[in-house]
Amino acid sequence: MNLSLLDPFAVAKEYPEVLTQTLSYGHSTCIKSTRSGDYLASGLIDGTIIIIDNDTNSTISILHDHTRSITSLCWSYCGRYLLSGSRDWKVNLWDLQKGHVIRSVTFEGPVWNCTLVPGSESPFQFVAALLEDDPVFVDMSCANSIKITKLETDPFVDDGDRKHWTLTCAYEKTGRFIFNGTSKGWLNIIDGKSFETVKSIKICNSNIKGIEFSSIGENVAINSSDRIIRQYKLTIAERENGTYKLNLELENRYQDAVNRLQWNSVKFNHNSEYLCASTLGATHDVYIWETGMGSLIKILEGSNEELIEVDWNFRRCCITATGMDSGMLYNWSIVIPQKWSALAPDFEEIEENIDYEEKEDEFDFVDYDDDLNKIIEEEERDIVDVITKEKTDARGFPFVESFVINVSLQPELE
Amino acid sequence: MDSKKLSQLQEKYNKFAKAPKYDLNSEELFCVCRRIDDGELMVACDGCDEWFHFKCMKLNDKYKNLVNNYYCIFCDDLFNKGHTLWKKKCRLPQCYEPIQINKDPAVLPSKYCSEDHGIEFMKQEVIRRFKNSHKEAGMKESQLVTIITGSENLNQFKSLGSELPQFDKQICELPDDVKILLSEIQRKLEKQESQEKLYRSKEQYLMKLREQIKLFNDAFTAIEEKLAGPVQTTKSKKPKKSSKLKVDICGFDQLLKLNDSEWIEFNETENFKRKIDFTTLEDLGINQEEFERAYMALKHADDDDNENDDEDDQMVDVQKDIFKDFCMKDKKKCVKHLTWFSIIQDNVRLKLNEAEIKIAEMKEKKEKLMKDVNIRNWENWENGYS
Repeated sequence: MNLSLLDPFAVAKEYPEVLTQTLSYGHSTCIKSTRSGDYLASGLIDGTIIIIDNDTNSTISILHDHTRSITSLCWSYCGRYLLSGSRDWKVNLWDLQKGHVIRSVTFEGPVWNCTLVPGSESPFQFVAALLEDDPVFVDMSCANSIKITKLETDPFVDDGDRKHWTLTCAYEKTGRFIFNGTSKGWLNIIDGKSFETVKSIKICNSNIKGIEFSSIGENVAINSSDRIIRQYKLTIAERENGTYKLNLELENRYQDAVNRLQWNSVKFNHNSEYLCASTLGATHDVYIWETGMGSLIKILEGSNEELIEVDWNFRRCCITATGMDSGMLYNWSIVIPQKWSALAPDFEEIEENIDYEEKEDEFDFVDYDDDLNKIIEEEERDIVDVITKEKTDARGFPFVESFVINVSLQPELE
Repeated sequence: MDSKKLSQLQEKYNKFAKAPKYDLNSEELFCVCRRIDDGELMVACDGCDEWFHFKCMKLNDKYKNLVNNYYCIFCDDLFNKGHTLWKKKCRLPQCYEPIQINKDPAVLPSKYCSEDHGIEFMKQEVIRRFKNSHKEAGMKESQLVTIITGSENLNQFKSLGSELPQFDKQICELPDDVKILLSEIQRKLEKQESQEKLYRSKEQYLMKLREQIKLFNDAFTAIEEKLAGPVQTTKSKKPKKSSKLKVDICGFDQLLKLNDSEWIEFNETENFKRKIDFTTLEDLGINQEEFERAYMALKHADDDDNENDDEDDQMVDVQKDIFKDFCMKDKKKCVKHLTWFSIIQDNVRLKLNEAEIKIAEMKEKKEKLMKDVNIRNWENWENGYS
């Protein structure tokens, strides 16, 4: 039923509440939904990538090229290209219009994660963190000469920490700076143009497992294996001489003091008011915090296995997580009661079947006098606008132009 | 059969059974009509051993040779003793002889009573079909004879018409659109074939590489054993000792990282040819002495942790030459290249498979295109002809 006709308070809920469905296709290890929330890419343990249409929950595209499990997925801004990193040492760039790989880079070891430069027009530049190697910036604009630039792993200030590796890398919203997390708890901020380390911060003493930026770009959550998610406020100010002043201010620390839980993966919602994280170990839950005060507001339950990757599709108010043992996708969403009386004011909703008794004058033809006829006619003459598009959807998100994947996709022979 | 008919039949049978067996002259009477044998064609029932006239049983005389088992109506319908069985008739319409059956059950029975009738039937059939269709097809008798006598054996004759003959009446230029399509397909085909070739060579290289690493490992182990001195003779210690000395390198080859165009270049080099067919270290251009020295240098470099870099400069150079492309770490300790062999092998196989499928597809497309052109040529020619 049309969302905007339903109970506005139910529709406007910020976070999902109940497990509504599970999707199963192979053993999923990595998921990512598009910016528009229309599609969900799911990387499988055997290297296959499937694209799921979120409206119908059906697989609309199956991509084969990797031979080991997918570790990382990243959609381009337009939603047409998909970057995939895998344990088979390859990073592929898929064009979903053609349905095949258009660029492929092979490294000398498994790929931890890879991220496209956000917001950029061409989807050909990305950074990747590699196993036991320095992170790389790759420019694949030209298919024949792919440029690979190694980035620094060692922090800006030498404190004697040696032999550590970059485990994760991320771009902040503008694409100007690369944020790399290392196995010794250093956060290296690297200039995205000159590829020099501009700032290094020691976050903790253990591995930084994930760096997650909110979509509005102000907040960053750093997940480390010391069981704490630290939330920072990031401010970037440009100085007069063209350099930048970066400031990270610790806002909140999220941890489970009782169970001492580690967190597998972290996601912000659209305006970074909420943060969700999947838990390591035997709890099988997804925790949701409110970021202003840092208080836990919801625990999503219902799966009977450990959850690894989470993805927050806020346009559909849906959190998806992958199960570790079965590789199933668990979807938490909100159940909105159908309200058919919204379609017409004299629509009456009944609890059970009743025998309808026609009222005395119900179907009588009445000769209205002329005045009344005129009023009715005028009412009918009012123009109802059915052409102008609405600017926002029922949840208040502006509609975005996004690539539509052709469902009768027949890979063009090349 | 409904009960009414059955009761009628029962009545008839009662009458038949009660009827006298002999006439006044003591001559035996037969059939339902109770007449003496006057030479008219009769058949014996296999159920009751009574004789019946063909005519009385409403059978046509010409079927007389085709009877296999006969059951009269009483035995069949009333007592359910069995049904009449007929032999298969010769295929020639006017012949009512049974077909020839070979004694050997493995040989399929003929469709005709005799060879002569087979030929006769075929003659009639060909003439009949020719008469029916020669107006449409516009074929002359002489043409038909040429086609039939043109085939050398049965199989060739049977396959007549299953394939369209190549158009050879006049030389036809390919239409432009077909030419473009064809060249496009050809181009893609060539691209895929070169891709296939590339990955085939990669696969070949990979297989040989495994041998090479094994050779290296054996050589290293030999060196280690030599260093450790004579092997102790105590039985219990022997396996333990040798397993400790065994060297197993990771062996990941940097050359495998080459991209497609670099790989094609590498394919042309002496180095590649040498690596593809070798059986001993000498074939690879490796001197045993140098090899040992290089290995020792490598070991020292590991042990000393790069403390005295300058001293062994020359040695390190040699080492670099021989092992420069290989990852020399212990296989179990090299996390980075873990299972590199199967990863690369899987990838190569996937690509090979892909290329093979595409090549097959392309070839099929090409064939179809050529067939279409052929059909079109024939059509055009025929239209012009008539």
